[in-house]
Amino acid sequence: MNQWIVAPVLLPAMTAGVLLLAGPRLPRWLQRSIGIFASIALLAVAVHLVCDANAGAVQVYALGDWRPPVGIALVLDRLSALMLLLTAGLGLCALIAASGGIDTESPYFHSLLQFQLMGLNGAFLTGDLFNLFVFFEVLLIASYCLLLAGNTSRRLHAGMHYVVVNLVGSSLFLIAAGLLYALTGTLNLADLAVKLPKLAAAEQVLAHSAALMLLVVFSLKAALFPLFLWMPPAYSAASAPVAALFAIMTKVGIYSILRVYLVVFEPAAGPLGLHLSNWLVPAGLTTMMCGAVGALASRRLSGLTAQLTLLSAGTILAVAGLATQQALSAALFYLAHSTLAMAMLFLLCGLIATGSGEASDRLRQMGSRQSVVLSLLFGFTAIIAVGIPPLSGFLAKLMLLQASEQASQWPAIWSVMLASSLLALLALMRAGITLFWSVRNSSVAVPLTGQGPQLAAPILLALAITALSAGAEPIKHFMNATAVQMTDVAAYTQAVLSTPGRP
Amino acid sequence: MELLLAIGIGVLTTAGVFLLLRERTFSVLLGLTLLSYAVNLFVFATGGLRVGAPPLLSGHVAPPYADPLAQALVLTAIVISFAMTAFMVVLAIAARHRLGDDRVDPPGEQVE
Amino acid sequence: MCVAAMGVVFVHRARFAALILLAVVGLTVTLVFAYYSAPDLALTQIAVEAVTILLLLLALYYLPQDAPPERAVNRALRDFFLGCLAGGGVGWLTWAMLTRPLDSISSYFIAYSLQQGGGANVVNVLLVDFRGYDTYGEITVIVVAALGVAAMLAGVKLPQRATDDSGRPWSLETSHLPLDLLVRLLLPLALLVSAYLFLRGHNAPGGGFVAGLVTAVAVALLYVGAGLAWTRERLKLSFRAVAAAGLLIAGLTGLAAMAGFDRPFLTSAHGHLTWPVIGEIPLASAMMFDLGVYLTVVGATLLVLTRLGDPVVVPAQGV
Repeated sequence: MNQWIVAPVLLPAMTAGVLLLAGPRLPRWLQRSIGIFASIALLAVAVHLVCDANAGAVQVYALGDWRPPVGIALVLDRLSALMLLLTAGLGLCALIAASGGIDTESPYFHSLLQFQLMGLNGAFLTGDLFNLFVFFEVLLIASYCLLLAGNTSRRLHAGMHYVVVNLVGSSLFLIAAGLLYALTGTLNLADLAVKLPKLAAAEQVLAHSAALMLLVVFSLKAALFPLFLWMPPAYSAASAPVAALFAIMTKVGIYSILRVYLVVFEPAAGPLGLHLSNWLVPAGLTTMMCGAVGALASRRLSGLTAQLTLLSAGTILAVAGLATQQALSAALFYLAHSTLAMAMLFLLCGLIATGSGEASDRLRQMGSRQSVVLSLLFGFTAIIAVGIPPLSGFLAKLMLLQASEQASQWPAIWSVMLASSLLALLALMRAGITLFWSVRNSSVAVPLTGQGPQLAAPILLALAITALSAGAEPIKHFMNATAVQMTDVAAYTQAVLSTPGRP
Repeated sequence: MELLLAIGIGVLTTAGVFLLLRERTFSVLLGLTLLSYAVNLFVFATGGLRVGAPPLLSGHVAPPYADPLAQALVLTAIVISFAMTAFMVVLAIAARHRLGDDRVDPPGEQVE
Repeated sequence: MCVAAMGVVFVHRARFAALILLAVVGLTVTLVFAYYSAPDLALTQIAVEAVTILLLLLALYYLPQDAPPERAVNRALRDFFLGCLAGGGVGWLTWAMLTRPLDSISSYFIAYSLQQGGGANVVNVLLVDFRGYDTYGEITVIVVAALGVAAMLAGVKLPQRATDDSGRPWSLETSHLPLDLLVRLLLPLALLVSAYLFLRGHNAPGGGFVAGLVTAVAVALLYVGAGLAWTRERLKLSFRAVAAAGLLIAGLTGLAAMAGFDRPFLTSAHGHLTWPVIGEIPLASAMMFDLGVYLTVVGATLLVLTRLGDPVVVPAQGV
């Protein structure tokens, strides 16, 4: 039994506990060091787990040594390992960027960040529906606290909406989970997959309601149309490192949809098959258009980035909704790419905002020239975000287009994808020109001194994206294998339900 | 008996959702609390309703017992809702203090 | 209960009255739990109810006591319709669910709770053993919520109000003699009750949560009755540290299984201790976990209550 599987949850949890025990009076450099050290360790663990998962088998960890479905199981397959790696990487970059000064906004910032990582990792690893709910709550409450750090009016207002919307979502989650328990008597995802098809016809209706409710909850988290209105204000109000970390929060919703639907409500399972493509593809496409148009209409760079995040979430789901292996693989590659790209863009917002003083990141003519480094980074990010060759953005978009070729909805998908890319390009170009070119007084430069950590983080992300582009071939193989594994439900259920343990 | 409980849960949900959609934060708080009561009762009901059979194996009570798993789930849900309610209450107070009034959508807020 | 719920809706603008009706609803829920064989739930619900009402009362202190009537009738109708839709849906689901037989994995829990889990209170064994990982996540939520509260209040200077909305002056005294005496007498008693609830939790209704809430409420009452200054002088405890300690204890208990016995996280063990005079005492390692839960609940709840009840004295300008 692989004890490392529980490490991504325990490591941040214990780190947060220690940091909390020591309290906010601990010298800041020590807090930062502990946090960064723990995050590096987490990244190492995630890499190790990815290599483990790449060996092929689905690994199960029976908590409390109770065999599933009696106890709660953690499941490590390629998909969860991939999400863990993304989370760990993003967490480290956000932490580095925050160490530049944002972490003074909240006395408990470093503990909160670790708790957030704990919640995310717990959600990605669990194989139990109610446990998913619990860890959703952990990551949600941590995100509320991180969002509200600093107590500005803008954040309080955005936070209010964010909290209320998510509380309603949580209630819905509970109802759906309760319903599924009442129908099948179990909460374990693999066990649900086995027991649901055996229900009588009248009960199938109830199961359908539960499935739809879960779709609503996860779509809310993933910011899918029509449940996405909470997202842009919340993400653009957050401080830059926090927003960068939030780039993975929509992915939790996407992950949950994929995991729960592919395993439990799998299309092949007879009358229960809820043909994802009927719902996800149109919703995803609409989200894409809303995001693209919103990006054009934004007056702040952070707002623009939030809309682009919306766009990427919609893209992932629109293509993943086709549920073929090629589509899933392409969607996953794009997921990895866009998460890194959006995080980088958010971090750049922070850098630009610091440099412009009161104007913050509003898309207005700048008083003085931004540094060359910053403009280069922005250009780089814009290229990858839109998908211009030769970097990973282009590769990802190409894969997506290819994957949707066979589908019946391909005209819609292709046109929306290309149109939204064009709009995104326009929006980013306009932002770039406003912020970097049309400067009133080009002889005065905004200095970049004292922003070492905040600059280091986007550079790290840039390196990661370059690695993603350069190593696209092996990574694509990994994604293909992940897609195959995701659709092999029998292997999943078999692995989980045959785990040894008490009683 | 089941019908009564179902109606009760339904009414609680109705009241909760209605209050949730009101303008003032305090009403939203009341609504959320009612909604969480409703949902907790719902999850409790998933275990089936049984009178006089608490799942205590001390010998005083004979099987069949009430469903312990449903009860455990509700306990977790109660505690989590409590934490969220406390958080939301303080958020409402802080927002009122900062933004000057206690409406959920202060007038004049632009979408950026 | 229905009457109370609808009542809350109709008087929601008269906030104090609405709170009382809310408390009534909560009490009814407790009764439902008790009637349908869920003693642990009833205990927890009533404790949580007490603290929730307390919090909402504190909120009322800082928010306006009454709300002006909302002008948009259309909006109210639409919301009412939505509410009915939701209520009808949930009600229908409940009824559909209750009229079906259930065959669940609970039978395992009931069968193995005593021999494998070491406890007769199956619900408690579920919480700290079978599904202890859920509880671990849950106490994390409590702590993070408390941290959020503390962080939000640190940045906000709440004014102390001279009068409430109807002009009645708030008392500025910090300590009231009768309440003071009462609370000082009650505190040791409450702690005893709390310890009792905690220790018997594994085999009878009780457990870490309820014990923690009882302790928290008792200490909070101490603040109320004896005054903030008096209590602060004597209780130099950092609630944040208590909560953090709770989290760490819970985590370490789980880790012990991993480190010492090469078992998964949160594997429990149980046995019997024989003490000379008292005889055999059944003991489970899950009790350490429950201790972590207890400390977390105490620390977090008190962190929230004490921060909220401590307004900075800023003369109110007709707020």
